[in-house]
Amino acid sequence: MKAHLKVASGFAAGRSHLHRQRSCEDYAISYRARTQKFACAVLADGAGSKSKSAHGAMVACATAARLLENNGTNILNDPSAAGVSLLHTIQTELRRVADEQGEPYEEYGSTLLFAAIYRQKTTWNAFLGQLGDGVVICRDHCSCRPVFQATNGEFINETVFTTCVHAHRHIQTLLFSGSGSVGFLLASDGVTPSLIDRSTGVTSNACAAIFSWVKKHRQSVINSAIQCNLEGVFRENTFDDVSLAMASYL
Amino acid sequence: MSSTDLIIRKEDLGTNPTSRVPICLVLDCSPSMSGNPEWGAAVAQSNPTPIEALNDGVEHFFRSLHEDIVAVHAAEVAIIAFSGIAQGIADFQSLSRVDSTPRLMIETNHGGTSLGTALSLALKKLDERKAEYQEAGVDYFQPWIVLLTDGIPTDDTHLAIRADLHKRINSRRLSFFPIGVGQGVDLRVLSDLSPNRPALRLQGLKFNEFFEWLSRSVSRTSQSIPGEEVPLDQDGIKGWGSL
Repeated sequence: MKAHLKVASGFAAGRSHLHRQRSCEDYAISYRARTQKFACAVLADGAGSKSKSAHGAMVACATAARLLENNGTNILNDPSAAGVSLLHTIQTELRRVADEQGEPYEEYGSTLLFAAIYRQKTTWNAFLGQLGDGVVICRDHCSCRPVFQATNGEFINETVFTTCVHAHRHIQTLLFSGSGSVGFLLASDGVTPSLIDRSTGVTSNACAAIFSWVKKHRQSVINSAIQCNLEGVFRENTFDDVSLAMASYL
Repeated sequence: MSSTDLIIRKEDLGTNPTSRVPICLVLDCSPSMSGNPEWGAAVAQSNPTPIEALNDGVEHFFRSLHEDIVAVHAAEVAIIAFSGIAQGIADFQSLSRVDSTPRLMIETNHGGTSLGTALSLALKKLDERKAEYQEAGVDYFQPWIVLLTDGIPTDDTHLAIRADLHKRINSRRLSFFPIGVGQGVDLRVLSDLSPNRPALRLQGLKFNEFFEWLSRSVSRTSQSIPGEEVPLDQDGIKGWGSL
């Protein structure tokens, strides 16, 4: 069977923002190259108290996706430096946007999660990253597990954002390779409690359900399903904004 | 979407506990709260007495939180009563499990107002509760201490705890609300313990109004999201307090 890369993503305003008639501050994008040699999912959750964080989240996602696609060789050669370099480029872009709009740079802060798959003939390399809260879940060999520990503060309403001075100390990255099927699911902190048991780190059945769609359905169908479940299921489990992004190799 | 397998079932979602807001009420139950000048009250007050109004206020607080669909699961309230000594009269627990509100009694056996002893006990209880949250994998917001007192400290214990309080408040690890009751309280002493929020004086015995405001503040905090500042309802404060 010919191997495929599939990606999907979605985001929706949470009940708290809907109640206050505010827009969603989560943003998520997914992209698959026509060559089927590269795919990525990127997700950013805008800082709650920052006026431009929704815009900042969008800039962070777009910048990260572009870099992940264009800098594949450098990333694979030096993955630990690549994470900091990616963050630095996002910060530079956020500063440019802030200057252009005459707003303080800190207003554009967001978290950042990403998963990029670089496919060779029969093998793949995956580059994953996380800054701040949320979760990156990996599925391989029929099991799901969270990849990183979230870099939260002590309290639920504290985390690290792209605009933080010491963000480069907190970005976590991981590069690994394989040849079998693999999938990565990124979730903002609004969705995380629906996917992970906090006390044990065990993933819920919802993760397996989402990954099961990859085998059975077209990418466009998965995309619609993610958006539909964010609005109809995940949103009911939290007050926060909700977002998901997925990249898989099958 | 036509396929039913594309709808995630509610039972397939993780079931994590609601993030908690631990709140410790530190309440002055010294004899002066009886409203009797012979027991140290600055002004005679008999209908209701300060302690009766305080009990009504605490009951109102619990009732208001019970009526809030989120706060009732998020808020955990402990109560410390103090005079010359301090004792916990209610331990932290989810309000959804509390059937009746604890009643405060005037402490006639131990006169005095040992503010520092009470605040030390509050910090100890908050630290213990946070450790329990961490052990159980329960997320939590910054803890709150709400102090209500009508007197001037009768010992220096509050000076010993001042640095610890300041450190926690300045590093945003604690939200502290010092409230003075009546004319006998020295707001400067309370404000000295609170580096970023001056002590307020309760207007008369408006405990109900204060606790109504407090429950709304808890509700807003329990629904806040990471990075979000939850400003105090300043207009609401005008309904019960003054500088």
